Amino acid sequence: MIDVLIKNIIRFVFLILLQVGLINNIELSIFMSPMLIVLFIILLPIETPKWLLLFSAFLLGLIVDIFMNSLGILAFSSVLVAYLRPFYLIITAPRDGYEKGNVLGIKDYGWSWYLRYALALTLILHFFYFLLIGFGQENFLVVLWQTIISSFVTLLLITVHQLFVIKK
Amino acid sequence: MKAFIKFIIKYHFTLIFLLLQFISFLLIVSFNTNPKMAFWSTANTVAGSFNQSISEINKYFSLEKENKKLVKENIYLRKKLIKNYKKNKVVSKEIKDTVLYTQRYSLISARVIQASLYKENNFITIDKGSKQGVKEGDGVISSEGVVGVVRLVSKHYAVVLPLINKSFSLSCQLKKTHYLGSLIWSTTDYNKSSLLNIPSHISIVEGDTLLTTGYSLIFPTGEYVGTISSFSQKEGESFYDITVDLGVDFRSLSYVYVVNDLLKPELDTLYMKIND
Repeated sequence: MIDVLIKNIIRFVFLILLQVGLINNIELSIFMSPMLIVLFIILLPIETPKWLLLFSAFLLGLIVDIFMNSLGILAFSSVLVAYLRPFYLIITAPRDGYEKGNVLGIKDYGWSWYLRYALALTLILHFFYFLLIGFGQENFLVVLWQTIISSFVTLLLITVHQLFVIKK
Repeated sequence: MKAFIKFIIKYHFTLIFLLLQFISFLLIVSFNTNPKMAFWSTANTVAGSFNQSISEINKYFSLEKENKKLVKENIYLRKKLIKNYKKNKVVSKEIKDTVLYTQRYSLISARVIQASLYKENNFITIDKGSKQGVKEGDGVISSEGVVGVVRLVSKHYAVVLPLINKSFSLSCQLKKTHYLGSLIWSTTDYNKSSLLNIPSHISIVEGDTLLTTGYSLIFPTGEYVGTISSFSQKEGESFYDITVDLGVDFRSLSYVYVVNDLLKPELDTLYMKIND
């Protein structure tokens, strides 16, 4: 139990450092700002208390917001993702339900389930992030393309992460 | 009361969710309207020093380019030295008149420690803050031209709203015709911007220079902004669509100057009197 907690805290810190230290500094196009921090929300254990799910997502978004001068926007998007996560998990539950202690990853639930789950959460986060960032002036098609391309890149990075996990 | 507690426990997930979304919403609104939110930005001490240590590493890769820029600026300034000019008129007595000139602008040099190029709302963070005399609303220029305006200030850092931010607008002047227009960034290209409000009855040419006006109280008069790269006129519209090549290359920007208008307090009190 403590083990899982420490693991998640380390992941929380590591993902923020990776996001603000590396990913945010690689700027290639207006369509590419992958938010790898969504991986933290994706990988939180199933039995995480719901209030903790929301508060940790809020804190995660808020800290990265400060580094991006977009105060509140990422916090809003990631809290929304955290709120929708349990509903998604109920809808897509495997036939025998989730087992306690299982990790929401490829190892326990397979490629196809995991990628769909990760994609759903990633798309929601990016869509609301880009919608709020360009609020008022931006044409909707740009927001859609930004969401699609950035989500795709994020998903690629998440998959790379899973490959490491499987090897272990 | 019991029923109320029961209600809260039953729906705590949704209630916390709504509360956090409400807080986020308040943060978004106040960050975009309140200029005193430096703590919540990259001007924050932790975020600032983090970005600074990253930029320390990157600094070494641009040294050669920076040197070339400095040499170019030195040549420009040296050309202006009085000893390079031959006197045409013989003046019998030279008096250095300190009454004739009052210093209006002072410059603070700063280093860019973080910048974004590919967002709708791009920001630049610099390593000078209120301790070094940077104030909110000060202009920021570089050797290549106008960069932006200081938006948030903390003790050691400041966040600059650059020309390449959707909420930035700057009134500037065409060098040849002296017509005023406003520069607003509506492209997604960090090299280009657009100039609005130039009426179509005046003639403009490609390559015409854009300079700052003296009206803005932010930048010195005649600071370089960019050149007109192309223009067009839509049927039935009374204004041109003008695309501007910005003078500053935001991608390689690493040293800037913060402009302090020393006469601004005086002018501000004057304007206050008019408004009263």
